[in-house]
Amino acid sequence: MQYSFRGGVRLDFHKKTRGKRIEMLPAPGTVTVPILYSENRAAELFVSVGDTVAIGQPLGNAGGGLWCPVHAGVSGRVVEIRQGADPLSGPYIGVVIENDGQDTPAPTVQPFAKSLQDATGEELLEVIRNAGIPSMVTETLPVYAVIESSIGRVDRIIVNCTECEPYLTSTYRLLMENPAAVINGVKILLKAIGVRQALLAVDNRCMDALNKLEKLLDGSKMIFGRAVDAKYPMEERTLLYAMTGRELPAGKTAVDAGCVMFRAETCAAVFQAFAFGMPYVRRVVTVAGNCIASPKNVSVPLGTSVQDLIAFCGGFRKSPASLVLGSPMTGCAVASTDQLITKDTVAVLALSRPTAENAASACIRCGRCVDVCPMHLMPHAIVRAAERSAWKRMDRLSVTACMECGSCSYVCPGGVDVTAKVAAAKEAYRTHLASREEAVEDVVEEVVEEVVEETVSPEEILVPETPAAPKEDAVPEIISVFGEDAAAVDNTAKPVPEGEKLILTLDGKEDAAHEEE
Amino acid sequence: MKKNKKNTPVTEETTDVVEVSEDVPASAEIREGENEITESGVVTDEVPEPIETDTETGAAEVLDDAPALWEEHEEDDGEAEAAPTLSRVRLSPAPFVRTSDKTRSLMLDVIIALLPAYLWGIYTFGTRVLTVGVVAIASCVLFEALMQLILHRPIKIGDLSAVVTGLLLTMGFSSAVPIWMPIVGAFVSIVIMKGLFGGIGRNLVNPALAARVLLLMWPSQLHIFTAPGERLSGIGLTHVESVTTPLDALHAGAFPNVMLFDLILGRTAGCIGEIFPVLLLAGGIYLIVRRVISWRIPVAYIGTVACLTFFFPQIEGSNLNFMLCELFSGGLLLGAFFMATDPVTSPTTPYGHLIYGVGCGVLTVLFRYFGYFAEGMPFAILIMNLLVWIIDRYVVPTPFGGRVAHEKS
Repeated sequence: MQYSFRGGVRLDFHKKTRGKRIEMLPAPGTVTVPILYSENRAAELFVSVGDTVAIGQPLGNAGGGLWCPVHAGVSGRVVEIRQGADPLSGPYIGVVIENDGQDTPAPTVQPFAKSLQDATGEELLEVIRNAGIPSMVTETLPVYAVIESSIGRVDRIIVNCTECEPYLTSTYRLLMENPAAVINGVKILLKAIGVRQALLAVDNRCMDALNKLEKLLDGSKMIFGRAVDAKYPMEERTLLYAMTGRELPAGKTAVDAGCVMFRAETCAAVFQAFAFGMPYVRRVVTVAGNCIASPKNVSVPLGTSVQDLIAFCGGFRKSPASLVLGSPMTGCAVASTDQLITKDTVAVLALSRPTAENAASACIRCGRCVDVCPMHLMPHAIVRAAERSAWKRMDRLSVTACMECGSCSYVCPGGVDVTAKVAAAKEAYRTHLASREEAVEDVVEEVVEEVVEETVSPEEILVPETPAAPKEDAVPEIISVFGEDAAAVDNTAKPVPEGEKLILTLDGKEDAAHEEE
Repeated sequence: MKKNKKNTPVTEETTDVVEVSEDVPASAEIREGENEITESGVVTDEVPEPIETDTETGAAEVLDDAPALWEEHEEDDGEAEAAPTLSRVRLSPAPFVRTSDKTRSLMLDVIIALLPAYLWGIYTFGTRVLTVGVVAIASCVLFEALMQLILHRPIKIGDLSAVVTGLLLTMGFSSAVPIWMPIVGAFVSIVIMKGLFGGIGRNLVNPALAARVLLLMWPSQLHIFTAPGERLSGIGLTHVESVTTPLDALHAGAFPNVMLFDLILGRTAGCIGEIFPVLLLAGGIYLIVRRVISWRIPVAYIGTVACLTFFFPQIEGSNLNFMLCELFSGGLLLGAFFMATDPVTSPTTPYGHLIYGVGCGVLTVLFRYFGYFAEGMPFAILIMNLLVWIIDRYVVPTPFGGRVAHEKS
């Protein structure tokens, strides 16, 4: 039986770093550890300029959805705290640390005191929370939040060990070099969540890695290896479907379908936190592309600049046409090398071939984008609808279901940037929805104000037996302006004029007085 | 790449950052933990094998033993530069890898698939067919270039779509066609049907078919068919004796006076590219295998025609014989594999393909049975071309995970 899903593409391999061991990047002279935040939630900072920090020492709490600590990857002195923005991860507070070369570990970096059997789920969760491990499956969430939300709601763990995109080999190397760390991480997670089954999904182009895992899992009754079709995109929804046949409706996560999903890197990081107390301060980055002198997989302290990383890989051998942070399908092009390696940076790619659409690009409606869309959409039709601002048509085409995996752009023989256009259409559609709601709300507010002003005087409120009749003409006038939205305006506007609702807003005294009457 | 030294030189950094692979005691502790889990009965998992953390299985041996599941396009690394700079870097949207299948390669595949049938046409009807083809293709390409030049669009004749149009136009002519017809046909298809509608990807109907139908304004000149083996040459037209094609015979209400065997193996009178069903079938299968066209349209189209002609034959006699004659005479196969499947003018969803194919089939049979002309394929496909927008409008696949409607419908 083949674990697969409908749609998706089989991408070229381009994995020249497959046979290269993960190398440790010697900690550079300075690193800028990014503490991410978002508009909704500010970051918290534990250090200030001049402080001495050690490896694994928490520097602050990331804001936004990623509410978890961020740690120093090198030891040294904090020389500057600055604002910045990462193309992949968004705005951050950068803690610039000058490396003292001592690599002093923080006193908190200690193996977990108990054995796995004695540990309770809460304790394990605490360890994972303090290690600041990102989920890597449901973006924007740290792994502890995923675990918390899954306790009692799932019956199995699915570990995504697939790596279906070109160039990337870091997961494969992790599985080849340290399968035990992944498996032990899974065991810790099993214990922390309290479930009894874990499936390791490895893509069928990496059978050697699967064999390796299975050798270690021999006889295990809880953890199983599974070979899945090496189709891109193999992420939360598609992998869940491939493994269980469950289709996730929009806006739901795997947890809602009774499975919790992690990536192999997460499991290895959980094991590190448990066995050594080492929080998530380094990640493996694939540095590849035909413009890199010696492509390799490098374990990099978070906050290292791309410049340092590329220099470690021998620099450029050709002038790149695109410099990419992140994966080749969903990454982000940057113009300079002074970006940072964050928790989201899977790879740094320097490619010599420009891929963007040009004047000669044209859609020939071949329908390949429809064939490959893992969300079963019609990307070419969405693009045409967006050109005409046909909102209803875009709704019918479910534009919001797009997950921007890039498959449609990949297969387009006309060389159109379909994904980028659909993403723009999605954004425009959301803006349209929001502005329309806002407009409706504005009108409702106006109507309410008008009605309240004109019809409800304080005396009338105190005499609820004769509720004030709403001015009949006020509401219909507005409705006619809005045509199809009449119902929405109508429904919201109606309850207001009825005096009883307004009574509730009066304070207790008057209310009581009314009851006495 | 032999790096089999156990625990390769441990640098200062690695010891301090405590890489998992360097530290054996810690993993031993985990093993202990596992044992206890089993005893406690909380977790029923078996004890795993001792955790190997060495690097014995290093780089060299793991290389390339994964099965190659599909062909890989090797990347062209090119020459290294002396002083690489970042000046060429452009910001472009993801993804940064693209397929090597371009419009041009799709068109090239169509040309390759059409060539055998065309070459058979040259063999059967003489070198005049070659002249007609060259004139048609050359004028298509020329008109395309002129059109783009006048409209200040980038010149895109390199995508070969004009060549395909010219070739399809040629396939539908007889060998005795006046030489101005390919030129007028090229003008109608490229300038009127394609250029004025906005160029490649924007035309409403198949340009070659539209031109063919328009040229029916001169039926007497279009419908002069030479007998197979009567090879014409040169540009000018000598007096030609017109013979009856199998399709004409069927339209007139009689079985064609050729063997079915000859009909299938291209030894009949007819249009240049339509007489050899086996080669057209082979070309169509080639396109399906190369995934240039979807199998659904030709299968639905031909299947519908087969069913209708089998169950409702127009001529008394063997149903099967009638069905085969209908399938293999005229332009049905050429239309089903090469014209109805034109990506621009066909639906893009799987169900849409089926509906469209069935529609083409029904209309083809209706036109052949009740129409003025013997051939029904061009009219059927043109009408379905015009209905594609409706199909694409109402046949929308359900998105993964179900539809979320924001608008009231």
